[in-house]
Amino acid sequence: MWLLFGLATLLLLSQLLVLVAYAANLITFPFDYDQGEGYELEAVRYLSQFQLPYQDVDRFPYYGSHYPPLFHIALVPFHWAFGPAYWYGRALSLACVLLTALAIAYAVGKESGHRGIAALAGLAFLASNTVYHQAPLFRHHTLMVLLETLAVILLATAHGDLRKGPSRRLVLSLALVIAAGFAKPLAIFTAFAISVYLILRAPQRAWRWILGSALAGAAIFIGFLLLSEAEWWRQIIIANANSPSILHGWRLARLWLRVHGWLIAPAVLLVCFEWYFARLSLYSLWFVCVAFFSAISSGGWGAGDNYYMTAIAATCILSGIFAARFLRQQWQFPANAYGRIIRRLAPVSRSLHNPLLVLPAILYLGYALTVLHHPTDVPGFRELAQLLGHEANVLPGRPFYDGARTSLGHYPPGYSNIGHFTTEEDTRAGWLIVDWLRQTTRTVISEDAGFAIRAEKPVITHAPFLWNLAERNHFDSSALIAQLTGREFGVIVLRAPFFPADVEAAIFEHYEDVAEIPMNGFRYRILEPRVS
Amino acid sequence: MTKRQLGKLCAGLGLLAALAILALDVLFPGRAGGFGPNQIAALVVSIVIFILGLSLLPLGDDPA
Repeated sequence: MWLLFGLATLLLLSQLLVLVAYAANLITFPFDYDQGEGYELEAVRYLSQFQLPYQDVDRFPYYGSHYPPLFHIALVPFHWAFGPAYWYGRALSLACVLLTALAIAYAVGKESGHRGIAALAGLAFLASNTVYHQAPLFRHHTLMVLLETLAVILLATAHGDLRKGPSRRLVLSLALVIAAGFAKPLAIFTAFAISVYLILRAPQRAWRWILGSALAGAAIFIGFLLLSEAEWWRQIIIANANSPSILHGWRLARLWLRVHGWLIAPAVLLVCFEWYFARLSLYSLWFVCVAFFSAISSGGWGAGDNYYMTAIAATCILSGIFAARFLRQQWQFPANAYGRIIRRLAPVSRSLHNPLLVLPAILYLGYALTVLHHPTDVPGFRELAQLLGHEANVLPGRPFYDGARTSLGHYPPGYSNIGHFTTEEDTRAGWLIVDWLRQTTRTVISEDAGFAIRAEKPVITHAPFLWNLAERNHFDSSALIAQLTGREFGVIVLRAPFFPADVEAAIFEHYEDVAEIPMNGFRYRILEPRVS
Repeated sequence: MTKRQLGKLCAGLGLLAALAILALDVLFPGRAGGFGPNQIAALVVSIVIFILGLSLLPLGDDPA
């Protein structure tokens, strides 16, 4: 058993090493790595000048933001100190993930008193392919997950009887979940889980606390609505109201189950145990709520496997508690209708217990082997790849293996096509694109905003955001199309492209390809105004 | 809240949701696509909640 635990710990620690190397690689990378990071940096710039990023998108510079501003606000001091840069956003995101892992370890340790399993639970969170992808990105998601996790742990570990009145922990927990909602609205699922928990534990008082929190959140919401002259509604609510595809959602749910199944199984068993034999813990309610709502919401356009990150945190806590209780035989079955049946099986279970003690170690080892992701050209990992028969399966030419993909590199829509390391060649190619933008004295459009930022040009448009609004008939493209028709932009850089159809048509009618520069696995098209 | 109360709540909500999902096509006959995959998934979830709720009823006044 200890050998298996040792192997699992070793593998999970190796994944932490890969995460640190990946983060170090990205923190020094000066351009967009994941599509959209530059737009978040631009939102920080707006806020650093005491302007909201929720501008009128129908007018020049046609920029707006999908997301509430908490992550951006946290980065404003860095923008003042260091100017526009990716490193501080990526470092903050990484710090959030590391703190979440520590919080998970704390929760498992507090609940079970088993330090070894607590450490494994934290490491398991960091080893998840989804967490690995998101950890060092200039994005909001990790801050939301950290705040949600802290809110849940604070409340779950609160001592005393909620029926006697609100404690400081309860107030802080509710404040944290409201803050999480202003990092990313998906925190509403955690807010729902906390509300259900409060209703179960203190039905008479819960309504007041839930209503109070809802009013506090609504007051901040209305504040932004007024400050942004109602753009907040269009940009945060309408632009994010994607109708999910059940097929995409199902494929992502299957991937989540396949990759994290080793830990989901014990988590589900613990939920079942609490359902019939104990009080439902906040962790169980949280796990069920966020897993269910993640499955529903992750199938939408622009959504993806990162929507499962909160569910992964809950899975790691529950599976950790399960493993610790299993090792310490801490199961107590009350004498209720089902408990009596289980008690009759006690002699059988006692005889099986010692051989089954190895089960938690198998679960962690199985999980560690399933989530494995690593470079295939670095000493140590190269030998591991040879031993396990892993071959590079991410972007062509990138020596990196991702266990969540098939051996041919296939993955369901919505799974982040990232995780590989950037190269010197990528950085050189990025600066080459920046040179194209610097050559013109006119304004430019760059689908990855980072190139415009590096060229010290204003960021114009926010392609996927405009696409989202156009899909809901909430974007008036006439002014942008008039500028495109007038060939006012000196250079346009395209990646996907993700522009609304009429904007895209205007681009190709009035601009022509002059170069194509590969960078970070994508082919960036450089377009200039047509001469004729 | 007790296990029995929680059971009744879940069984009631599950049943109501299942009936509402089944009634959708009767109440809105002009809806495109008929009884689609989203409705099937929602119906399955509602039935599971109903059964889970029923299974709590024997547990009486144990705290939920």
